[in-house]
Amino acid sequence: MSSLSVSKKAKDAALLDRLLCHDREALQQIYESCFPMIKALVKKNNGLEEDAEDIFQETLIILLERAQSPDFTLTCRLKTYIYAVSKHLWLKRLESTQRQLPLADGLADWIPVTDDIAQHEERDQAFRNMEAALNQLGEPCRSLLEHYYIMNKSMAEIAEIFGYTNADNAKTQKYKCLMRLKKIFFAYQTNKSGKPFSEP
Amino acid sequence: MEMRSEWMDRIHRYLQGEMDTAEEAEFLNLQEQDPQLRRWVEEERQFIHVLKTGLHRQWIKQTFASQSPIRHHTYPGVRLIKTGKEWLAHVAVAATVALLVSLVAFWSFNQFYIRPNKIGYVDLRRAIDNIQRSQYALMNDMHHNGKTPANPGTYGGSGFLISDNGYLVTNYHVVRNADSIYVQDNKGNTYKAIMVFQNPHADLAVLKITDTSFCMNGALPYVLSAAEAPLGEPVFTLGYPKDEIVYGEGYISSETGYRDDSTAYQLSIPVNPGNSGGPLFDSKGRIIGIISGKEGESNQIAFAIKATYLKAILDSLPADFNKRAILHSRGSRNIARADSYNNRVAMLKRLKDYVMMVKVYN
Repeated sequence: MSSLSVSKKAKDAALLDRLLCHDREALQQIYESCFPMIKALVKKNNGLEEDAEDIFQETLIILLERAQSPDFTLTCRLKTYIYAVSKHLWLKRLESTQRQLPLADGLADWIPVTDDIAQHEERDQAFRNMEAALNQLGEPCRSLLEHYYIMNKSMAEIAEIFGYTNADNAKTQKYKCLMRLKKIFFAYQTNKSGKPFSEP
Repeated sequence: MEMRSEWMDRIHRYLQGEMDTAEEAEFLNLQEQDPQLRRWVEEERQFIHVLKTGLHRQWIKQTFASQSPIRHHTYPGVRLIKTGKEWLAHVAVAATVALLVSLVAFWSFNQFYIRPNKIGYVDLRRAIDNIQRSQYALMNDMHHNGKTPANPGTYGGSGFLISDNGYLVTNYHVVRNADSIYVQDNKGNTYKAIMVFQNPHADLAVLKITDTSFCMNGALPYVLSAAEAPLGEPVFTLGYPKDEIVYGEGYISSETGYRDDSTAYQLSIPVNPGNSGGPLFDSKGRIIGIISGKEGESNQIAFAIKATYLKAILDSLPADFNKRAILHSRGSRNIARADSYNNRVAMLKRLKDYVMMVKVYN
């Protein structure tokens, strides 16, 4: 393996790490380097720019969901991964809406990321319910959980940022927020789909 | 139901890697025996996974939907940081008092702490050359909107990350007498740090990055190996004897350090002032020591504190220090291990992001 490609891989890994802690600049960078090709793909295959953006957002969510697992390994360039997931999603959407017009060359080719997509879709409803639950949870609970679980801040740092008197206090708040979130989330789950989570 | 909530705190601490080795072993043992507990742990693990994904989902959707969408190349302020003007006066007074107290404390401490008389042993802390550095510091300023102090610092050394939330190890002699400490990664990002642990006898200090802008995710690309490395083991180090990161390789030339000091290795490796506090890696990229000094004028004979002594202090660190990150690293995420680890150049590309320059102001 040439050192050039390893360096690119390391860059991709660093970029992905930054994306995982919700670094807006990393998102910007990925948008600039990847969105044009997704737009071209969708537009060439009977879609609009809005469709492309929708697909791109879903792709990023799948990427983030898969990449947060400790055992995730990026086996190809980040760009390639994003393109493959987007392509798969767009293909599926075309099928479901029956806009079955002739596809541009090579679109139906083998896709290396189907496992990741399948695993994500299995729980897609749970992720959507969680998003709704988080919206309902409100501030500062939502930000507190984001700082703890996404930005990896310690309780002492969280106490400082949110103005709690000490780390123990922040921890109690976090616990309360988590309990409230669970209640809201499991209410959504039982309303919309009971699986694959049940109320504890 | 009641039982479950009683376990919740331990389950969450286990899942976040916040337990120490003994507690974790005990908890794993409990899980082994109790299928109910195992199920609860698994359910919590899944819940946290869904929670994180929900947060990702919300972030992506909101960022794209926000008033200044990402496609228009704007960066609106996003962090909520509580600093009202009315606090400023209080903060200033508190900071002055803290500064005075720490100055007095450092002064008196140094009156009583007499370093062992080691003639011929040279610490590798670097007195920073102002002229040589000024241009570089200026560049950093431009990148960081004035956040970086323009003054390049009085002394410099090296350090390396030992957790994903900003804990670093360096030598005590590097940060001794510091008024303020900054660390800088090899990309030029500078962060404010504080000393959270010191052991002058072992010559070890642990720093914590306090800037909220510091963000790193997940696995460190190395682990700590407390096993004694054998004579002749090929080793390498990364450090900052100058403003750019410098690589050096050599071998363990003796299993004891300066004057048969059994807590250190003697190495044959090129090191210079500024290398102090840098990591010593074995051939597989595991950390086996911390570079601490060299012998007199010799450019080849150097010393490194054995990693066992670093491991020993990990339990004394603040509660939010995640020991698991350095003891059981999940490895180099996103890089196929075999590819990179067979190739030193590739290995260094990954490692160098985790070795930082330590800048001391006093």
